[in-house]
Amino acid sequence: MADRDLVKTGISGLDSILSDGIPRGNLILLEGAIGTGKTTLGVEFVYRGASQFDEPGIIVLFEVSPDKIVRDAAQLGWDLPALERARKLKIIFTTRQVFGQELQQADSVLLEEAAEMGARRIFVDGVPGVIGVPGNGGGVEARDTFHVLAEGLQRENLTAVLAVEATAFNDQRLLALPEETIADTVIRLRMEEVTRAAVRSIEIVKSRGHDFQMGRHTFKIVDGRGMEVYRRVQAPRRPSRDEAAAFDLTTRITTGVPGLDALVNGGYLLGSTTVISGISGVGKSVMGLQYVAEGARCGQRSLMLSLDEQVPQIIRNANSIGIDFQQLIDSGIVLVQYDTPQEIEIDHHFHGIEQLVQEFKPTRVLFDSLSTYGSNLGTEGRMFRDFFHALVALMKEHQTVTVYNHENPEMLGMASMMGDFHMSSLVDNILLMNWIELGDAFRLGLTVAKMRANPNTRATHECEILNGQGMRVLPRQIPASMVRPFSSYQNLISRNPARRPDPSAT
Amino acid sequence: MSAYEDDPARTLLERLPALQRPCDLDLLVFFAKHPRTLISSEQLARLLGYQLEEIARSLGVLLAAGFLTQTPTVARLARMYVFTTGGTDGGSLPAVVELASTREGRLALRRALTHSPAGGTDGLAAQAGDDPGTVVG
Repeated sequence: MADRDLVKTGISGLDSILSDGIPRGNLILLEGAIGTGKTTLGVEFVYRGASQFDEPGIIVLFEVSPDKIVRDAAQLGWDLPALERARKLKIIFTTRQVFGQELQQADSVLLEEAAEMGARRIFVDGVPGVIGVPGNGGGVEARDTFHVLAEGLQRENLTAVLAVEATAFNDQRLLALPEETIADTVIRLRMEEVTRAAVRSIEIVKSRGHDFQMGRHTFKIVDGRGMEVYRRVQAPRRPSRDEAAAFDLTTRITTGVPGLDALVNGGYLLGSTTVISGISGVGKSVMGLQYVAEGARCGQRSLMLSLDEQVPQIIRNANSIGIDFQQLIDSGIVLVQYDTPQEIEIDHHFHGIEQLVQEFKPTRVLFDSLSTYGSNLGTEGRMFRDFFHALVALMKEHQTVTVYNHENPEMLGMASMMGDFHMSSLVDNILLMNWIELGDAFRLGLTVAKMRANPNTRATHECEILNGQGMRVLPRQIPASMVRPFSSYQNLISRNPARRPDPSAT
Repeated sequence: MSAYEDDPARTLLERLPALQRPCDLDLLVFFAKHPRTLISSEQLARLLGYQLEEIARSLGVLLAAGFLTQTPTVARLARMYVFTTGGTDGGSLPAVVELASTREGRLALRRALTHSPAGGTDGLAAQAGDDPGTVVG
C-alpha cells in the first residue's frame, strides 16, 4: 500500500492527535466562537507549512488587516514578512463578496496567485456566510456557497483551512452544520469555563481518510512559540505504555530510610508504585527527601514533583535533616519541579511531566503530594482517577520507581488506606504512617499495609525523626528504654492501643 | 521663511510629489496596511468613504507613481492590487505611512495636502467643510 500523503500541521502536539497529519487536499472546517484561537491555528498552519515543510501558502483575510496579523504573528515568534519576501507566503485581503465570486471563476485571480507561487496550503479566516445561526445564511444557500468554495479550492489541490465563527456551539447544542457535511475534516475549538478559569480545547469532530484521537484536548497559545496542543490525559498513548508493568522482580531500589528496607524486602521494585499515606506532619516529606538523597548516593537520577512546597523551602527542609539538596540539584542528579496547585490544567500538566520523564530519565520519582492533586481535581469524578492512572502507566513505561506522598486526613489510626482516593488497587505498595497516642505522647508508627508480589508481616513499627539525621525505623524490640516497644501493644492502628497481656503472668 | 518649512508632514510630502489629495494619501495608507488586496473600486470607495470617481483617480495616481501594481485587466470588477515601495527613494514612503498611522500625523498630512497648490479639497474633506477633523475615511 502506498504511503499516505499526509499534510503535517507542524503545530506542537496536533499532528500526534491527527495520527501524523491530515490527508493532502482535505478541506478543513475550523469552527469556534470569538477568541477561541481560530486565526492563530490557521495562520500557524500556513506559517509552519512554508517555514518547515517547504509548502508555500496563502492567508486570506476579510476583516483583520494584514499588518495586525503580521504584528500578532511576530509576538508568537513567526516572521511572516520574511516568508513573503521569500515568496513562500502571500497574505491577501479581500471582501467576502469578491472572494465568493472569484472562486466561481475559471480564471480566478486568487487561484492564479496560488498556482503562481506553488501554494499547497490556504487559510481563509472567516469564510463567506455566517453559519450555525438559523435564518442567517444557514440551510441550502449556505451549503451551496460553501460547496462552490470547496470546489474552487480543491481544483488547485490546496489543503485548505476555513475558519467559521460558530457562536451557537456549546455543550448542550452541537448543531450539524451544512458545511460539516461537505468538509473532509472538522476541527472545533472551544473556550471552556472551569470554575472561574477558562481553558481552551480542540476537538477533531471528523476527518476523512485517517485515524485521529477523539475527545477534547487542551491547548494553549504561548508567546514566542505559538499553539501547543496537549493530548487529553485519558487518551491512549502507545502499546508499550498500556502494557507496562513492574517487569523486573529482582532489582530493588533502597528507600534511604534506615530500617525501612528490611520491611520492604530490600527496597521497592523497578517500575513499582508506592504510596506513603499519613496525616500532615507525620514525616512523609522527610521520607521522600531521604528517598531522593539515597538515589543520589547510589548514582540514580531523581525527579521530585512538588505541588506543596517551593524549591527553596524544600532545600531548607532537607538541610534540617542533614541533606545538602542544593548540591544535589546543582550536580544535576536531582531535578525538582514545583508547580502551583491552583487551577491545574491537567492535560498540560501531564504533558509537562511526560516531557520531564522522557528527557531527564529518572530512576526515582517522588510526588509530593498526590492529595494536592485530589483537592484540585476533585476525587468524586473520573478526572483524578484517570490522571493518576495515566501517571502510573507513564512511570511504569519508563520503569521508574515512583513514590507518591498522600495526605490521609485521619490523625489517629486509619479507617481506610487512601481516604476518599479509591485507587489503592492501582498501587503496588502502601505504607501507612500514623500518630499513636501512648500515655501522654504521640509516637510515630509505620505499617507496610500492602506489598504487591512480596511477603509482608504488616507489623507496625515505631519510627523517629531526629534533627540533622532524618527518619529511621526503630527495631521491634527496643533495647533498655524508658518506653515500651510497639510490640508490647495491640490494636495500634485501630485507635485503641492496649498493652498485651504479659505471657509470663499466666 | 515659509510657515511649512519646518513641517515634517510637508517635508515628507515634498519628496512624494505624486500625492496631491487626501484621497491619494488614504488610499496609500490603506494599501500599505493591506499590501495585497483583491478588491473592486466600489468596495474601496465604501471602505474609505470617498466617491468612486475620487478612488478611481487616486488609484491612477498610485499606479502611475509605482506605489501599486495591479493584475491585468479582467472582465470582473475586482482586481489584485499589490503595494510596492519601488520607484520611491525608499525612505519617504514608509515615513509617510508611519506618520499617517497616528491621528495627529494623518491630520497634519491631510492639512499639508489640502493647502498645497495642487491639493485643494476633495472627497469628504470638501463635504465636511475642509475640516480634516470631521473627515470619515
